[in-house]
Amino acid sequence: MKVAVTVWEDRVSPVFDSARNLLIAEIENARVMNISYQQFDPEMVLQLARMLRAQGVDAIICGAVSEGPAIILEAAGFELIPFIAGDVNQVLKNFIKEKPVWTELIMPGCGRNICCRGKIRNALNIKKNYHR
Amino acid sequence: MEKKEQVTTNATETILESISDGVFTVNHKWRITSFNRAAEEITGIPRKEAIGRYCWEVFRSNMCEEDCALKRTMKVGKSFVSTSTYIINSHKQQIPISVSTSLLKNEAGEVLGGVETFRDNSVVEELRRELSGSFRLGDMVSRSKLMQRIFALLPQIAESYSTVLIEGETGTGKEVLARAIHNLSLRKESPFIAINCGALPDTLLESELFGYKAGAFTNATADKPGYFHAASGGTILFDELGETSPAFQVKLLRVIEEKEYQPLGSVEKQKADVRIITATNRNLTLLVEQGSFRKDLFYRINIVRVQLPALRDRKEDIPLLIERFIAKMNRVRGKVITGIDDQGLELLMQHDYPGNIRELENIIEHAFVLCSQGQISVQHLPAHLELRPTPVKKDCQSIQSAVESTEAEIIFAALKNNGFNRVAAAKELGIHKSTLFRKIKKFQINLPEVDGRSTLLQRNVE
Repeated sequence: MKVAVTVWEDRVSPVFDSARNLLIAEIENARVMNISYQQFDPEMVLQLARMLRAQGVDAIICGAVSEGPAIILEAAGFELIPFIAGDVNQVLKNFIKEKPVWTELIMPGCGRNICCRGKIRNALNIKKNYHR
Repeated sequence: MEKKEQVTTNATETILESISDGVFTVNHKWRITSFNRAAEEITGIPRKEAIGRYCWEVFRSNMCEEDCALKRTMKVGKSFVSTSTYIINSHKQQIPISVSTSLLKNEAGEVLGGVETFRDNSVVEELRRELSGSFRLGDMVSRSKLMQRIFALLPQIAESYSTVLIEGETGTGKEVLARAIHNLSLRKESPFIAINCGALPDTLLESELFGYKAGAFTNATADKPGYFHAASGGTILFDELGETSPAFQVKLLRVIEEKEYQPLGSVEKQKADVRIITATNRNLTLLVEQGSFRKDLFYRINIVRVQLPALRDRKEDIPLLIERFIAKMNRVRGKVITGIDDQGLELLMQHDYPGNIRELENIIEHAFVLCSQGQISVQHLPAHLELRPTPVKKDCQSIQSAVESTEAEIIFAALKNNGFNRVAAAKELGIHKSTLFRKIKKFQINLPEVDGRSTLLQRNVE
């Protein structure tokens, strides 16, 4: 499976709406096999969705995101894991776990999964299917 | 002495807690060291969660990544006041704010970090919207009579459940109008999804719209809901509908008529509780006559028809749109461009805008790249925008006025050919340079500041 993370240097980009860079990680057997970087325009969300779909990306991890792009990305079938902060490697390490715990990586004010309720659980289900 | 210091600290804390502006401080490692009550209210983040975190994880502004005001302050040691931007709260809402930053120093003058104060501008923005409501509707602004007529009709169109057909040249704001209809309707709490039909092949468009069931085709390993499902209760815009194939048009017609759709690979139909808005830059009546657009679908979508005028037909809106784009880009790019000067505005008013509002927005974006602060002027605008001779009064249709008009155009063309070098232009025209100067003055031909004797035009920096 593939996961895309909006990145700012070696961290998750704080705001999806103004992010410019995307890291795409290919995960196989719970290991990151390949990493590539791409630039994108956050104002062209449909274009981004098409580009990610063409590359076979299943999930998107990002920082704060406003409602408009979040709805479009979810409607396009991606598992959106928003309001995540911290070092990208740590985030990826957590993502590839069979049962990731995001508590330490969630942005402040988003405790109890308020911001991403259900999404993380759904992403977990995708991975479960993948691990089977 | 120690007691006195304690009293002062307490007083500062009380003041900080009582003001309505959000205030936070950071240390040199960008970790938040204090966070007042108003900051908690505006961001929705409790103080205990904010303290010790990186400021960008808490503040979540569109400036954080590329143009952080606090970083600039820490770098140059200068305060910045009232920069407009927005933050995203935990409910995925954008909150418009204005930000001021300064250095945080102790009594000895030693820099401890930075202070950021921010004000929630949501109410101000709302009031501004209310005040300018007479020429503003949703995200659209206009003083033009053509648009005012559309604005007047829009609330009624929004209230109805009818399918709407929006026609207009590319870049006239068809999607913005569709969004305004959605936002004025009872469906505003549900999603609005815009689909560009021209960008997707038929088969993909179908699976995107209706979704599919696992096993519907190779690699369809799981059920995928489509846009119809995602927009349930809301509105879908089919942009560039004129580009779709007759086969797809039949499927869309069936959804509109039966208000049901069938995901690929499914045997059951699903209810489509979605309002459909269609948009096109083609002349659908003509396409129907030519047989490339289905007549039955055309009559089904042509219930309410809105024709958006081209920008060249509503030039009175150009200053208003420029103002709006500058404000938007100041917010997005974190700049403080104050406006456009008279010459720049004149140049933009002269242009015909084949790309309509989108083209104007791109021109302003171009100017933002070249203009770092102050007012946008001619040298910041794209080189393809040309100064043209001021038209000679046309109210008197005499031979004399026609001759003068042609003469002015020929003179301008010669000037342009010679890089606005007056002497060279006079030579090309076969007249003396003083005759040329006299005619330039007589016909009030606008010339760039650079006279052509110097090298290239400054604005050919592109």
